[in-house]
Amino acid sequence: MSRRPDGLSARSQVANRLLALSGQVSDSASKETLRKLERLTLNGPNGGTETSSYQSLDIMLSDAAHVLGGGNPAQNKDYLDRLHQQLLAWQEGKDERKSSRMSIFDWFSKDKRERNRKDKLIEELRKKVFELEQRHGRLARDIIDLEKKRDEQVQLAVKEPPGTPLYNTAKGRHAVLSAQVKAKQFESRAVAKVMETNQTYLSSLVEERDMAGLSSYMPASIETMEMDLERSNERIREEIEKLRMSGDIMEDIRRDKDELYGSLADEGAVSDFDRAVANQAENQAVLDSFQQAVEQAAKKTELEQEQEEKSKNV
Amino acid sequence: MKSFQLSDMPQNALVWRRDVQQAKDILGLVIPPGYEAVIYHAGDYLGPFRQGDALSLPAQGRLFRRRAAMEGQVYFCRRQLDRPLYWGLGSLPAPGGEVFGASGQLRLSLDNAMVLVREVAAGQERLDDAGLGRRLESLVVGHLRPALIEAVGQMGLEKARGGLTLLARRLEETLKPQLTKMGLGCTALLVENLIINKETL
Repeated sequence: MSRRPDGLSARSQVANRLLALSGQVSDSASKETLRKLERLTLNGPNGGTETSSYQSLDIMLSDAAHVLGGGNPAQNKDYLDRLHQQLLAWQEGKDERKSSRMSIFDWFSKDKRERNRKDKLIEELRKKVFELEQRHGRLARDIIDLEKKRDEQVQLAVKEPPGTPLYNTAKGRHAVLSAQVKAKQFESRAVAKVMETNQTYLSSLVEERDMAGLSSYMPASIETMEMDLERSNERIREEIEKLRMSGDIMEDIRRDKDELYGSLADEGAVSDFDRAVANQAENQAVLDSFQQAVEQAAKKTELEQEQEEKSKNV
Repeated sequence: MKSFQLSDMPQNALVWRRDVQQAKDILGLVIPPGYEAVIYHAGDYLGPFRQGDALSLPAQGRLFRRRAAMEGQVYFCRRQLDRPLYWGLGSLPAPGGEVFGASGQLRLSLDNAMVLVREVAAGQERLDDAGLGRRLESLVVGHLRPALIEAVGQMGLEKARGGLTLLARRLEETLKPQLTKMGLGCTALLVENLIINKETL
């Protein structure tokens, strides 16, 4: 049973975090689900803390307050479902390792030392990729919220003639929200790029480790030597690729930054707002004229019917 | 301070406080089934410690760890209170100018040890059924009373007397959120008697 220095087992630690979260959320359905998950944790087995499933659960619990505070019931339900799945995965403990520490004999083997180093690196990278995925998801949600708020400003301005204080206020808010959306989009793109690089690096590391594991079953021969040579060449190619990719990322980020500041400085963002308001007003005018036509047609039909009835009576 | 046993906890107590001067007083104490514990140490509450957790005070620092004062308080909480609490209300107005009284049982459990200790039991040596009864008086008068009058008003006095289970369920729904705020759970709320007084108000 893994325990923290203060005596709490990992199970109690997770249950206490769920309990604390249930006290923080305002949505009663989420509160109830969190209490159910707390009971599920306490009634289930005590999972280990040296596993990637625990690390993922730990990150999800850290993010939960932020996500569940958003007030979107569908989003909350989805997050709690995933939290439930992650909790079960941790309790099952399929990815549990006996110990992350190497035995004294393994220290004398170069291969085992190398493998241990790679294992640790892979674990760290997996954690980092998971964190980045979570962050990317959060940014996407923030962008949607900001875009919604920005569209609300257009709806407000449609009712006002251009130049009035209300119109100008909406225009100002629209510009600020547009800038915020662009900043978030920029951050999201940067995160996506870093995530992609990490994922590529991770998959190459996993592949390399698997290859190394495979080679241990082969006889020491020319084939092995050729394979080693091939592996070292592959590693050099990967390093070059990584360097090239980091260069590309830096270049892309610099370009995005320039674009962002350029777009904030020019009047394009403001004229977008006027165009959106004009389009909205135009659509409204078309709708109004259509409605008028329908009303006129209805009136005409009523008059005709009245005339017909009069003629029949006569 | 000599070390203590959880078996010394009074049978009618929901919360029991023990003062700890040295870390060794609680060393090796593992929470058994049916209990939880919260530690108050250096102005902070730690826990809840659940079944299977070993109690321990946080370390003060490496060099002076042995000499440093390790004062703290451990609050042990039972998950269920064995004995029920009895409640009773009289002179309640019913439709048609009649007056009635009602009484029953309330069986309590632990919902959130941290909230219970912070909000209700902080500083108290024990929170037993008598203390809880006094504490819940205002809840019964403030929430149970109006809920009972309203429910009987809707159901009618005779129907309410014939359907005490239904009446109890409605009262439980009213009381549960209030108990949750105190860290308590409601295992059962029973309405055992409903007496109609024919005298008018």
